[in-house]
Amino acid sequence: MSTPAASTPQPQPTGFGASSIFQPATQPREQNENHPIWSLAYYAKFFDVDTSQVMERCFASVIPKDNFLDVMGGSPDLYGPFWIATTVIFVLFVTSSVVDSINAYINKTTYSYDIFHLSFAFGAIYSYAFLVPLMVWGATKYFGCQPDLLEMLALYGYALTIWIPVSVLSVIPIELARWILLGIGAGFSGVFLIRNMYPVLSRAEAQIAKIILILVILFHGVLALILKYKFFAYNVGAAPPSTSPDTPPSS
Amino acid sequence: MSVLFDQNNGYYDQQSSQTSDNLQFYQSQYADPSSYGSHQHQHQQRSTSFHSNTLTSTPDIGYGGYTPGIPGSQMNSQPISWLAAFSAGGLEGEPPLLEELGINFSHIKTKSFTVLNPLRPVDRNIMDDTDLAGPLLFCLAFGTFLLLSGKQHFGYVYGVAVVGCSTLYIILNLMSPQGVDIPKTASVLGYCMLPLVMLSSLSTLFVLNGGLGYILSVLAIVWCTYSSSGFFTAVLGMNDQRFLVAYPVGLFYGCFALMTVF
Repeated sequence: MSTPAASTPQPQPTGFGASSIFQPATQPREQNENHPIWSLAYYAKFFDVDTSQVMERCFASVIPKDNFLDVMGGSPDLYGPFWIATTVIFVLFVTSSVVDSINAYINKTTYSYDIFHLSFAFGAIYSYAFLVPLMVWGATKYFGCQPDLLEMLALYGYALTIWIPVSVLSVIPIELARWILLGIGAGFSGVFLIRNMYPVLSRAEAQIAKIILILVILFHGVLALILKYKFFAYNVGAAPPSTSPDTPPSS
Repeated sequence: MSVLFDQNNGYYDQQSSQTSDNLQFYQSQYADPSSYGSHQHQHQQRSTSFHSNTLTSTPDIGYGGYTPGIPGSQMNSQPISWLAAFSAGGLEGEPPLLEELGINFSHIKTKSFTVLNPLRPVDRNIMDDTDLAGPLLFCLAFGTFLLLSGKQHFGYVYGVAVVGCSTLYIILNLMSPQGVDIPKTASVLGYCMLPLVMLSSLSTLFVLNGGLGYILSVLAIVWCTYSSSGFFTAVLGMNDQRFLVAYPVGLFYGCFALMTVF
């Protein structure tokens, strides 16, 4: 069977401008070829997970018992981080909108949902899930800790899992309950992160490792406080928060 | 002249060997004996010969000038007559119109019934002829029903469909052992939109922005997602990743349901 010189043996398109987008796939992908970094096939090996594997990793991140790198079995994926971050964004937006509208119903005011909550959540969660691991990776690489970028991304991505049940439960109108939930969420995910990053951090000098650890905890705390004051800050019985653009004239 | 027939033969063999014989609708489906006169015999001969899997190049069958890629071109010495072009008789050796356009109603029906009955296992070869006629029809019906219920959302339907298809194309190529091309993803997504089309038809009868409407729309999304992920996992061989595929597909259909309800 002869393959034309212009196209590669596997059916994956090598770029979005290539006309091979419209050719049907006929052969299974070969895993041991070296694909260029700008081709889609290069990233395909990071998405090679089953449903059961993703579920297992999610549960292992919520209850940080085992070493997460063992749970991942040496093959971290990018599917989890991307979709968990997206889910957290949507859940945050939906629950905060639902509670705002319940608030307005109780106060007998009109409510129109604030779409800027969604864009704020989008920016905050995606930068926490992708930029912060990149920064931590860069810092640890500079100080010679030999980190793995993929593991960092997977750690931070799966650490966001706990915010989904926390934000759903934050509908509870008791302020103390919300603070407790926030503490549980930040605590569990913080412990998960630190436990799994410790082997990497300990390869640096003691001073540097302490500084990076403190910065990691700081970023985590900042995220928790942002979530609390932006999304979970609604008080039943008070007027709708001033971040919504159209505050009703009579409250 | 025989050289030209050999070339036609070669093209036809190549085409039939690439696609599965299950959905090769050039066989006898539209071999309408009444309109071809002297070519009837040749048509039936050709269709029976393509039925067998062992067809190799046997240039002995007279083709009467049928070239699959160039409709209506004449290989023999007859000139193209305007009368034949504009009348219902057609040119010699021309395939039927629907076959030429690639619209095969029985396949559309088969695929639609597969979507409507998601509990039955999906045949692996069902998407071998990737046609976009059915999906286009369903999208137009969706937009029309929305129009009939007072919302003109054709632009949103088009936009969400394009963005969603591209995103799912990227995701499926990253996750499946073999790749997939854009027409196939568009075809599967379009066919599985049938329950949403039914939901939008209900929206012309009563307002969906209430309790019953929410329940029905959730049911429609789950139905669409279940059959769509069934199609993708069957056609692409991703058996354990069904829920991972279903999640983005569910978001995609959720956008359409939002359009219908709100």
